[in-house]
Amino acid sequence: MNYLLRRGCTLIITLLFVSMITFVLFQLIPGDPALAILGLDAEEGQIQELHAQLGLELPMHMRYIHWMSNVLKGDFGASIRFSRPVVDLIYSRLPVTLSLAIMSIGIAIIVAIPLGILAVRSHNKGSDYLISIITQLGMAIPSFWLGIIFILIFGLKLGWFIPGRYIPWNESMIGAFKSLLFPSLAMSIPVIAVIIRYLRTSLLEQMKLDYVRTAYSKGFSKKLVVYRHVLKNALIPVITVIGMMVASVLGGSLVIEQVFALPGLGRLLVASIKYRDIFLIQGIVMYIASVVIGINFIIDILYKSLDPRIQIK
Amino acid sequence: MKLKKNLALYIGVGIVAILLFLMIISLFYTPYDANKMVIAERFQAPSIKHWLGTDNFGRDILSRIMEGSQTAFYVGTVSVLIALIGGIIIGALAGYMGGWVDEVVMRIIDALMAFPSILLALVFIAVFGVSTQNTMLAIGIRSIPTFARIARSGFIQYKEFEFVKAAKAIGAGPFRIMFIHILPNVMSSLIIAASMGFATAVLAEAGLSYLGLGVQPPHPSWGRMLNEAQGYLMKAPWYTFAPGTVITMSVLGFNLLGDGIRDMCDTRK
Amino acid sequence: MNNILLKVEDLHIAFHTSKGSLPAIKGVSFEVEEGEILGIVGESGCGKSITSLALMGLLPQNSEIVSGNIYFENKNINSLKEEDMQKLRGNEISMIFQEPMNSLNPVYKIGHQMIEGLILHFGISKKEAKERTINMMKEVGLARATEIFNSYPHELSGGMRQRIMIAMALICKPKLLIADEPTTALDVTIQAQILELMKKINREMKTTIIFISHDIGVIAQTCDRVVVMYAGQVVEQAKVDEIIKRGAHPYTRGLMEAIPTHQKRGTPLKAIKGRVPSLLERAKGCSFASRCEKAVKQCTEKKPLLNSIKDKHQVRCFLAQEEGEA
Repeated sequence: MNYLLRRGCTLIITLLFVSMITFVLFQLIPGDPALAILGLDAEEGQIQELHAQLGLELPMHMRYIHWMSNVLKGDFGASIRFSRPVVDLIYSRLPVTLSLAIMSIGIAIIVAIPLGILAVRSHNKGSDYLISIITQLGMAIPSFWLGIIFILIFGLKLGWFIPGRYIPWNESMIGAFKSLLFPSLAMSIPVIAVIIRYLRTSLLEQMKLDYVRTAYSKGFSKKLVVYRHVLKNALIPVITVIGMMVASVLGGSLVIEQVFALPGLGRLLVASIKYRDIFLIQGIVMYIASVVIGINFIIDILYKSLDPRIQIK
Repeated sequence: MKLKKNLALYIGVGIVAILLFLMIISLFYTPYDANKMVIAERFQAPSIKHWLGTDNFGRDILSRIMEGSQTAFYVGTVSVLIALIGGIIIGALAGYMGGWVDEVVMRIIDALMAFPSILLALVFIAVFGVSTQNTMLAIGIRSIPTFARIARSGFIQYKEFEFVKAAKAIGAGPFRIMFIHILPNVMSSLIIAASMGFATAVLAEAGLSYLGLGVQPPHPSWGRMLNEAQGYLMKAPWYTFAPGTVITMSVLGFNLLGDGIRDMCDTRK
Repeated sequence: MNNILLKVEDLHIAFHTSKGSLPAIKGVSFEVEEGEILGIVGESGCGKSITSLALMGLLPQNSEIVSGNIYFENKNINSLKEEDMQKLRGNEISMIFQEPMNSLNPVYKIGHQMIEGLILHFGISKKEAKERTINMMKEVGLARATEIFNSYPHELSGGMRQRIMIAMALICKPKLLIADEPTTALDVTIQAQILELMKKINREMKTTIIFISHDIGVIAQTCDRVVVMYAGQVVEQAKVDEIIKRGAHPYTRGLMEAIPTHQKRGTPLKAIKGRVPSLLERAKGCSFASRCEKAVKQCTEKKPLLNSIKDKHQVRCFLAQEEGEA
């Protein structure tokens, strides 16, 4: 069967399950959302009316279909706390979270690939061991603590940025970059560690293959063999790992936004959990999970299309 | 190469042993009462009297770190157990049964994996409320897919083995085959995952508690200490380093332990 | 007599393992004359491949030349710096390998992999490199050269890939081509075509070839002279007719008897009993003694030396003198 088609089916099924999990979980919340919206002293009539409006008297599967059809139209309901459509709130906070995710993955790729290559080129020598130690540490340090240390050193001591002040992109590109750089750096450290680890293993495995011997026998130096022949082969599986990192970066952003007081989706989510703003939580959760699935789908296709041995069409 | 392999195991065992030792001691003895506030001794830098200094309430940081290790071990152990048991049951069913059961279970696992781990834990806490129990449940349930995947591939691999067919031939029931015959063979990779899962749990607990959505007072938690310390970064910079370092070391220790066990088990190399 | 192109002198190679340093090549010497095809034959594990990798300066990381010299055009090449060796590799000395399936990089097009050697060594333009490459591909019998130039390795058959490997090795017009079991992974008809191609290259391009095989039948069809290796040593060397008619070492004879021929039709094929000793085993006497049907007491006590029993025919066997004369 056509690979794209099959992969597309899996994508839709996974999204369906994600929506079900999200929906069912929020049905388990004790208490009446109508009461939460109207307040405890609401009249019976008002409550009935809102129940009908929200479709709460319907059986669960009907409510799911009702909710899902709204979601497909881009309607996640309205926030209880802000009385605004959830979608509007998500879009107003999205730039921060998206910038953080893109910047941290970008930084991670730029830093991790050369270091991974260096580790292999100096295999079993000092710098290889040093890189292994840094990698282990990088995976162990909580990125939000790293963020706190960055605030202490670069924000408070060196004054390179003002902690707690976010400048939007449309106000000042440089300002926005400066206010997002350090949170992105903090988030990128564990990603860097993971990519180096995978790339190193992948490169070392490739170095054992026969085509490497052929490349050497043509008269290439180790450096050229690694860059011209091994790297592309080794990077293909690493792309999948980068895909997996998307989820972890979006998760990390939830906490990092709190550390740096950035007005992103994460901060919105944590606040809405504290306020029990159910529709908003549900919307953000559904949104983030869909983004993760979507990006992984794209990366999967990219991965397959980079390997000439696999035909997608 | 061989030395380096063992090194991961030795360092891992060393760090975990030190943390365990610290935790056990704290059950009987801490230098000070971890929750006793002494306003006169707020923000004291590390000294002979207070090895790691004091916090914004004049509490001894070392004592709080020590008591915090109880929380970390408690949350880590319970959530890994939840993940391990849940993962084994789901993985065994999917792997051993195969067919549509496997297909459905795998799709659900894929769907769960799409949620960033902390997000799923946050949803859980949003639904069921903030408490230590819910923190453990949230972290544990979120880790089930990882364990289920490992168990599943193990069960798929072993169900074709001769000894399993032999057991079937002498009339062993599916549960006997799954848990008496196959499970012990899959256990080594699950133990490795458990060690690393412990590290993940410590990290997740710290993150949730930092957000104020994890372990609640009066239990000291490293993550919440980080949150408190952030408010006094200039005044008491040492405060952030104590919990931060101990979280890092715990995660490092359990990760290395897992790596070390894997290398030890890997007889093919 | 022709000039000596390559001379190997008392080569010793050892593997470094957890069990200590194990000698794999124990004093191998031979010469390759310009324009000839020299066959090196022996079962796997005899040290043929490791010798050929040593000639290329491509020994695996856990092995090392302990002593001995390799002269290429009277220049000692095992003392060369890595950068100087790189200038030789692919340019003056080329190599093709056993596995055409895995010897090409799977993610790059054939053309890309073929022209890079030319560009590296001659610094010519891509366009010129492509032209030369296509010509070379035609030379080795690849008909749809342009089409293949733009294909990926997995789109080609094993025989085509081996032709690509040969064309790639010849692209810089090397003086010496080392072919390590180039036909082993191919089926019989393709095998014959590749052998013909090797001979044609030797004849028309005047490329000297070292042809390595475990199959003495293949060697006999292709080579001018043969070196027989066993357990890291040369046990016999001579002209190919001489080996076929008067092979003196019991191991050589064993290899010959294992070839299926028309004359032997209906009689069971003989195989040499036992196996090549591992690097860990160290015999006090002749390393072949334990498998040799003719072994006498002397064979297990003393190591035989490589002796000339005739002009250009040397054998490492105590019994060879008499047998050779008989």
